[in-house]
Amino acid sequence: MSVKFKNVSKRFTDGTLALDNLEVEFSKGEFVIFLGPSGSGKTTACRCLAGLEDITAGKIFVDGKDITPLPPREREMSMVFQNYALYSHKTVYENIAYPLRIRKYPKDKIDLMVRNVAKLLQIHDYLGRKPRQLSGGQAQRVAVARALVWQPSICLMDEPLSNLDAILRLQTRTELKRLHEELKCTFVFVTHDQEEAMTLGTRIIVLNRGKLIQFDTPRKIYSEPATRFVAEFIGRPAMNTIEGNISDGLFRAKELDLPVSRRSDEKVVLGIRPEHIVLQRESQSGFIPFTLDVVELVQPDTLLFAKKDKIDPVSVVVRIMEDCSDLRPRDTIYLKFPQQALHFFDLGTGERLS
Amino acid sequence: MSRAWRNLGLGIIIAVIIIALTPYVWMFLTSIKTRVDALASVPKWLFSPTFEHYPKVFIDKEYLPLVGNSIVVALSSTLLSLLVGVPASYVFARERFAGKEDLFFFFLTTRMAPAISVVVPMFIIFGKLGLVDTYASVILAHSSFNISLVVWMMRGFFEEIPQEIDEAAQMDGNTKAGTFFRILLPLAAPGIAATAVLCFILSWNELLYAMILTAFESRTLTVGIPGLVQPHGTLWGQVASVAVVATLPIIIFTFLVQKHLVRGMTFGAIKG
Repeated sequence: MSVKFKNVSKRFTDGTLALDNLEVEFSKGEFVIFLGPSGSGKTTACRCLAGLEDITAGKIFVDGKDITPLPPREREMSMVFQNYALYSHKTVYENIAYPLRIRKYPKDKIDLMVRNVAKLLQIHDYLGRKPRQLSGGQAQRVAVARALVWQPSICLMDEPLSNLDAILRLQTRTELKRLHEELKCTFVFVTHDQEEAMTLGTRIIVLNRGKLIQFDTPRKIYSEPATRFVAEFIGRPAMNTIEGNISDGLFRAKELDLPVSRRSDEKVVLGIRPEHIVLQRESQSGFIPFTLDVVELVQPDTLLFAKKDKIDPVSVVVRIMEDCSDLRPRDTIYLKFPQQALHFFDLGTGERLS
Repeated sequence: MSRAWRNLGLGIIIAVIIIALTPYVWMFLTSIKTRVDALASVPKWLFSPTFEHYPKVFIDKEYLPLVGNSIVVALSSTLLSLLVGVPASYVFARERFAGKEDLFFFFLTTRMAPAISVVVPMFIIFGKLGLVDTYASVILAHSSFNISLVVWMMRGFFEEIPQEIDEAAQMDGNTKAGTFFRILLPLAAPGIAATAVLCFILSWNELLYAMILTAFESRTLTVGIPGLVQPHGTLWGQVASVAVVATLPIIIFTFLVQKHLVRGMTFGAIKG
């Protein structure tokens, strides 16, 4: 089974271009994430796949079959909504059983399937309750149960965790991952949270302003961001990016001069992840002195915000996995930017330079 | 809130209740007074009650069938208005189409013309159709103003139901019609109940259309009351007893759906 977006564009009646020629293909059993900031078109892409939005141009194929003209009910997909969209007049049991009843499953089979999925999601004790008697986390599980009970080929999830508190969000995230491994169903998950995307996805579709920016595994997206946008969007804290020029094997910027292995003369953006910068307290060859501006403890790590010059507007962020309680603002620290950890992007287009 | 403010508020509420209830109590007392007591120049608070007016007007004057007529007309026009108005309001709440707000406003404007200016053409039309003095004429006339009320109130109710519910129902395998009948109608039930009661009350209480469009066969209870104003004097005791009976269904209904009604009213006011 595969899902294919072929040149899909969506323009809303107010003129907004939500999807711009989206071309992407993924296969059965994947946990695919649509990731992007708000307004990137990720929810629209998911809704187009569901059939809840008509597309303006292009086609969507599932298993080679054009499903573009089909209404939602004929697409054999289910969906978990951000606000759960449970039927408040039905009990939890009836909410979960509903897709089976519509599909005219026999009564005893419905009962079996509902109880199985309820057990899987640990909501079997609440089957007799009404949705308003559930906590957010419980309601969320019911919504997931309703989406999975009839074993659809694809389960769509539109920011299903964003209404949960932080701890519950982490728990549910782990459970979704477990569910995916257990059920082998294709999950399509929409989120703006890069951490959610990186932990859950087998592959991530990064969107910005309706355009596909990168479609890759989380590892690849982290290690080889296709554009400056992806580089800055993925990772907490974001990748350090410094604009400058390369000439004669030297990267020159307001903040620092740095020998690099690139030879061509060009205007570039240099990027380095905070966790790849090496820290020394004493001067050493290859290390550049910086003045420490702010020290933040994010247990167990420490974030150091350092400036080359006091008047620099931008700090270089360093993430260190060691005890830095001896460091104080205005201390001088020595940083090394390892060659293999450097990323270069075109200053104009933002594209990654090989 | 301080005690003084609380007491003041309570005082105002009591005053309003007294003002609102006095005519009703007066009416009820009149219905059980003899003609002499009812017309006494100094109102009599102590008197020996009589129930002679009730059988006189409902049995002797044959007003009992009028109660049945009122029930038939009010129930039918309520049902018809809901049948037409509820699906229409759903479309107004959910679908996007050109001229939607204009059309919605047009629905409301049907209520703005004074009834008397509409009822004459209606009388002529129903006359040509041979419908004058039938249930159909009054039911249709009452539906003409109740439908706009239904559309106006129910749109607010449907808009309060999140769009995701429709979408979830479609993802679960429903057609658009299935979504409406199986999911949205049950969810909007409190709103429908509140709207139905309002429609029923408006139709039950309506006088002008019913008076002009009916003569004898399909006269409603409200039309019967002016018949008790006679050349040799108004039969106040009988007028009051018909009025008391006429208010009973309204009171019962309102108590039954009081909770929904309050919610329905505030909603229409804010969202409609």
